[in-house]
Formats: sequence, C-alpha cells, structure tokens
Amino acid sequence: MHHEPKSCSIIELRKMLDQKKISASELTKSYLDDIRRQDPKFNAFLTVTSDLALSQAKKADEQIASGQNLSLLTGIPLAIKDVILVKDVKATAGSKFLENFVSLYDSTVSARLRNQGAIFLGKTNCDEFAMGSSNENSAYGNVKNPWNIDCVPGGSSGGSAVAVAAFEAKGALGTDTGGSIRQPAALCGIVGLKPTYGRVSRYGIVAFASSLDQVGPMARRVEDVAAIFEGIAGYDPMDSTSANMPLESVATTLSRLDRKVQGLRIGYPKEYLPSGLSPEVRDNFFSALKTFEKLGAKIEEVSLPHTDYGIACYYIIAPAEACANLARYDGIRYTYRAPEVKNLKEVYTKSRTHGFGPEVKRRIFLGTFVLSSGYYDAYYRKAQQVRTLIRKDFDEAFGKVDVIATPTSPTPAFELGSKASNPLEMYLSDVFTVSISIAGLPALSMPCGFTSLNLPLGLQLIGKPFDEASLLRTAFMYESETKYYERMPSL
Amino acid sequence: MGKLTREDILHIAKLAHLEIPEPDIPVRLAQFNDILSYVEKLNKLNTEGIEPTTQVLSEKKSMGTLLAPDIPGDSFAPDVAMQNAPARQDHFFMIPRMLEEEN
Repeated sequence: MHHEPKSCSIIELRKMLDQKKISASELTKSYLDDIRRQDPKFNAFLTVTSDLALSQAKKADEQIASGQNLSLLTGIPLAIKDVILVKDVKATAGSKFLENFVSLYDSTVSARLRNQGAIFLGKTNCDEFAMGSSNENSAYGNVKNPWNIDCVPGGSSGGSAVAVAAFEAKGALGTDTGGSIRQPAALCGIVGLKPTYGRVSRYGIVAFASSLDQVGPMARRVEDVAAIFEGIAGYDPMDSTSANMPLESVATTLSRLDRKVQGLRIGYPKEYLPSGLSPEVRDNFFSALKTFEKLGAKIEEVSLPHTDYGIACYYIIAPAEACANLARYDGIRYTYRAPEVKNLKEVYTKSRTHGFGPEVKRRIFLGTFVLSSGYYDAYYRKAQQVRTLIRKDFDEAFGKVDVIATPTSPTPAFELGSKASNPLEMYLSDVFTVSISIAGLPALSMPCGFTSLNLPLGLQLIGKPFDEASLLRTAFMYESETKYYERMPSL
Repeated sequence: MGKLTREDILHIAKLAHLEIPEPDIPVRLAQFNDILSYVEKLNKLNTEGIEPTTQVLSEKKSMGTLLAPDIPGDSFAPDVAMQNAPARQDHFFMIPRMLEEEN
C-alpha cells in the first residue's frame, strides 16, 4: 500500500515510473478506467480525453525508456479545468454558450505541461465561467463531494478538486478569482495554491476578471502542488500582466522542506474569527496554530481592519471586469447563436439571454450597472480605492509576520441546493478568500482536520507577493506533522 | 443610493444585451437590490485622497508596456480561425440582414 501509485506523491510516483515498477501507459489506463467506472457518480469530468492521454502516455514511456528530456511531471496524469484551453479539445467553461467550442491553441499552462510530458486525462466541471462557490452554476450538472455526495464540492474549480480527492487524477489545474481554487480544495480535503497575481500566465484562459484571475495547482500533497506549480509558473510574453520575477526551483524548495519552522512568524487576523464562526471551525483553526507553535513558529495576532469590506469590494470589481470580458459572447464568433433570430440585435440579445445561465447574467447585470453612466464613481472607483486600503492592510501585517493563517472557509461543505436561491448568502461563503485575491497575494489551502460529520476543513496560508516558496515550505512542515492526506473518502 | 426600480433594471438589461422575462423581474429586482444594499457598506469608509488600485502589479514587476518585435509569425489559417463561428460563408461571419430593404 505504501507505494500505491494513486496515493503516493508525484515525486514517489516519478521514481516508480523511472524504476519501471509501472509504466505511464498502465497508470493512464488505470486512471481512465476509474474515471469511466466511478465518475458518473461525481460528475467531475466534462470531457475525458482518452486518446490524447494514451498517446501522451506512450510518448512519456518512450522518454522514460530513453532517459531523455525527463521532468518532474513526465508521465503524471492530470486533469484540467474547463476554462483552460487545450488545443483541439472542447472548452465549455461550464457554459451552454461554449457547448461546442473547440480550442484552436494551447494555453501557456497547457503547453508547458505538455512539453514536460504530463498527461491530460480530461477537462473538469466548474461553475459557468468560473462564477460560483458550489459548482451548482455549471450548465452540465452538479459535482458531488466524495466525502458526502449530498454536499457541494465548492467552486468554482469543483470538478478539479473532486477529480483529485476521488483519485481520478494525480493533480489538477484550477483557476482562482476570489477563492475558486482554495475553497473547493478546503471542502474536498486537498491542497490548492493560488499563486501571486502575475506569477502564472493567463494566456489561453477563458477570462472572468482579468485583474484577479490566476491559474494554480490542486493535488493531495503539498509537494505535488509544488511540482505542478513549478511546471506552470514563470514569465510569458503572451500575457501582458505576466511578472518577470525570479522563481525558486522546486528542487530548491523541496530540498529546504525539512527545515524547521524555528522562528517563523505566523499571524492570525482577528477579523477572520468573527463571533458567529462555528466553534468547530474555530477550534480546529486554533489547534492548527498550536501545531505550528509546537514546530517552533511564533504565533501572533494581527489585524486586517478592512476585512469586512472585502466581499463588497470584490462583488463590484469582479462583475465589472466580467461584464467587459463577457461582451465577446455575441452570438457571432463563439459557437452559440440562439435559433430563429431575425436581426442583428436579436443575435446579440437572444443568444446572450439563452446562452448564459442565471448567475452569469446576474454578474453581467451588476457589472453593467456599476460601470454605467452616473454610477461609476460611486461604485467602481470607490471599490478600487477600497482595494488600495485592503492591500495596505496586508502590507502592514506582513511588516510583522512572514505568513498569515486563517480558516479557508467559514463552513465545511454544505448541502447541495442549500444556498442556491440566495445569491448574496452564496457570495458570503467567499469571505475568507476574496481579500487575498483583491491584494493579488499568493495563498494556499490545505487540510487541517475534519468535522464531527467527517467533512474536511481547510487552513489558508497567505504569503508575501512572489513568495510561494515560503508558503509551500510552511505548508509542507504542517503536512508532515499532521498527515491528513492519509485519511481518504470511501469511494 | 436608493433602490433600483423596474425601469432601471430594464435599462441595464438593454445596455447588457440581455432580456429579462416579465415574470422574473420582481425576483431579479429584489436580489439585485439586496446585493446593492450590501455593497453600499463601502460608503461607510472615507476614501478621499486614496489612489484607486487598477492593477496590483507595479510596472517594474509586470514589465510595463512592451512592444512585440516587428517580425511576422505563424498565424491561423482562416478556416481554423473561424472554426467556432456559428454561421459563416467562406471567410466571413454570417449575420442576419442589418439594413431594411426598401419597399
């Protein structure tokens, strides 16, 4: 069992592949079989790319046999969120609008993974255009949480989280605009990293909110997330917001992973522990802090005074950017056009009305309103000024501490349908993740325990800009101590 | 700001090229006003003199504005570039007639 290829880490699996204990083709077939057998229960995949995966596996086996051009990801089967383009594969973004859309080219992240010999098992379900916190906004059905199939997996990268948690992929790519990697990772008991804004190229990603969107890795183990992160990160001239900042190699990060957290300063913001927070989430969080203390870290309370304004700020900025990005879906260029349209105006209006789902339309409405004449200063400009205040909060806190820790989500996975009729309540489930996106900081969610009903809880670690390496090291030390990944859902 | 009315909602719909079916208007309006009254909590903050953040990356980190080298590269063949169009003729997007015919 110790070397079970599906439960071991990517680094262990790479060794097994190199030692010919298993071939990439056998591994890929085994994943494809499991997806075929069990995914109808979870609905994590929208497209399974069996032929592509098997041909990539064959090539990986040849590379492994020759010992040439090997990377940490050669032969590793991954799942890709359906907002990320993979050449010649469908990309629906969870929307009926793109039901038949086939990508003309690889996103930069897909191209990088492909060149490193990773295997693409398929495209994963998500909230439509990545807008949602429960995956219930997908046009292709709900995704079920493997820990309790009556519960949501979180969103919007719910399919990616479930593919990993249910052992249908070794790792996955998600995207995070206000929490869409971290919250589903928390609700499904896995690790998810939202890198610093600008760290990973957005070229070839279906755009939601361009000043917030980031691609990031999701996997069962911190070192897996580190390996995939290295595989996708770095400057890309195809993305004008791509940052040209030094990136620590995963080998360096991993070689330092066993260093003690001696002297590491971890801050916990009091505003992230409101009085209404469930005692289970609070107790669990404090016991995680105790673990860090035992490992040698210094724990101190910090303040992020504008926390309470995060959701309001986010739900102005993100819809404003979304309504501009989604203007391209006009019924002319992107596969869907409503039937029986009589004139050009109807091509636009009827295609958009029938092609978009309710939450996407709600956000287009909100964005259109806050940008409309007479309201721009009151809403959009105001939110951007508050964005400055939220960033300053973090700047000040990071003057005192190295890493900030919070619960990832105020609740564990909630029941399907329980928040579906109240959009505002659904928005509030992002309360602990949005401010980090607004500030553009890197943050990671990892398992930190379970509720009495056996639902996973997530710990969020927030880092300084472009310091994913410290975040990964801190997470790794906590993981080595707690080993929550050993607890698995019964499938 | 005051609550939005039915007329406001229809005006926004027009700007966004979306239709709201008549029976949905009351619920949409209520949800929309709920969200707006929530986001109006920002007005409690004095933001006078605060620079708005449009982009978290500084020019230095984002490379600023770069010009691509003036060298022709590969591009999609027109057939490939248009493969996702719902209606096309040759290398043109097809739309319904825009101008009325003279009677």
